[in-house]
Amino acid sequence: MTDDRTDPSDRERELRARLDDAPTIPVAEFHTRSRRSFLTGAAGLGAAYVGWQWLQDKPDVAGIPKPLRDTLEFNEDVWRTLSEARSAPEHPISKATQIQVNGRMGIRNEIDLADWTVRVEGPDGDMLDELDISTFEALPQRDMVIEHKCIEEWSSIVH
Amino acid sequence: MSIDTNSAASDAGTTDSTPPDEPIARLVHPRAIRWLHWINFPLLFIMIWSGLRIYWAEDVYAFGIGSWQWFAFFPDAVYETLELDRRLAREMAFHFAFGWLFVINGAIYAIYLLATREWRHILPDRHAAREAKDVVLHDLHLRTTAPPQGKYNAAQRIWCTVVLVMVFVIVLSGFAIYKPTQLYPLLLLFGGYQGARLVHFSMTIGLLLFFVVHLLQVTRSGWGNFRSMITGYVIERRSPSVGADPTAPTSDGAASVSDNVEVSS
Repeated sequence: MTDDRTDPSDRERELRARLDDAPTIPVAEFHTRSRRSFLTGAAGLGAAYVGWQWLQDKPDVAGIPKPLRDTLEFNEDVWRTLSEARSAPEHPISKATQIQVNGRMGIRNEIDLADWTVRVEGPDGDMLDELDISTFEALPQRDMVIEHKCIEEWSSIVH
Repeated sequence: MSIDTNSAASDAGTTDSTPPDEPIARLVHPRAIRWLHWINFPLLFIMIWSGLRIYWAEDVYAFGIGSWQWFAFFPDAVYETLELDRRLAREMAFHFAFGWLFVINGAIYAIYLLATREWRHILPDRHAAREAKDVVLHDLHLRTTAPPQGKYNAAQRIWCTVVLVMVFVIVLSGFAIYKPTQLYPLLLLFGGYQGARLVHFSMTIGLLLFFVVHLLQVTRSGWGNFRSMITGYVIERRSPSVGADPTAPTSDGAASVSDNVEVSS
């Protein structure tokens, strides 16, 4: 015969032996189960569609459907619980580069920090304090060279 | 009748020397596998879809040498065709929410494979490399017979194992990108943030390629095979000792590859 298999039929027997415990059913029962499976599948499709619509129809909380916003908050809790406080590793200053600038959208003029203040408001909108930028510049300063990781997934080692 | 013609004819199931038994339905995909498979499909779709839109915010990858660029991921036409809008924050929320479901589904699958010892059907054995080559040749019609196989052929077993490893790596690299400071040791494993990002992206492209091949093969294999992922069963006309063959058109009277091998040996 034109059998160019290099393996003896032992190989075949060995492979098939593993299938021998797979259950079989008569064809009549197969048709019943088959119908049931397709109906279940259709129901599953329907459920997925309804679920997807439900998610899309949920009101946005800060631009994101509420269930997803809730999940993000849940994620925060998970990571706060799981991981101990860890600082980003620092790099030698020689590795530092200019940070990537994505764009200056909405910024028409050069910024003069002296013209700006920081308002501190409570959750209910109460104005608690208003601070000049110089207040922060007067605070104790610390140098740090870390990899700045953007949510867009670029990263720069910055000073 | 020459030997070659005989071989070809038996391939088509016309010179079957043994009278076929009553048709019988044999289970090839247990219920859990079917559920996990079909739940995974939309989850993976959502992950890739939202992932593409996250990547779009900074689509830097391309094939090329030096300044010469052969193919950019992705050409603008791709984004235009898909009619995407730029909503990075929203897509990240989808990615980080549905990621849990994807991971949970995958973890259940892994536990299932281990607990039922179903992994034995998937993990390649020492003959797999040679047999996989023959399977590919057979699929390309360069070889008349397919090598012997169990539930899955050698090429499927290798591909499937590679995909499982890729999914594991994609999840690990995903977590490394997601929490690069908390999971810094994991990040180092991928060579830092940009390394993890490249791995995560490459694995996605790999999964997409797998998906294309998978669709082609499922289309080729026909209705009986597709149906088995919904109902779990394939119809056989042979005695139960003949292995169910999810790739060959086993259903509804067509002789399977394993029938052919049995006849010719």
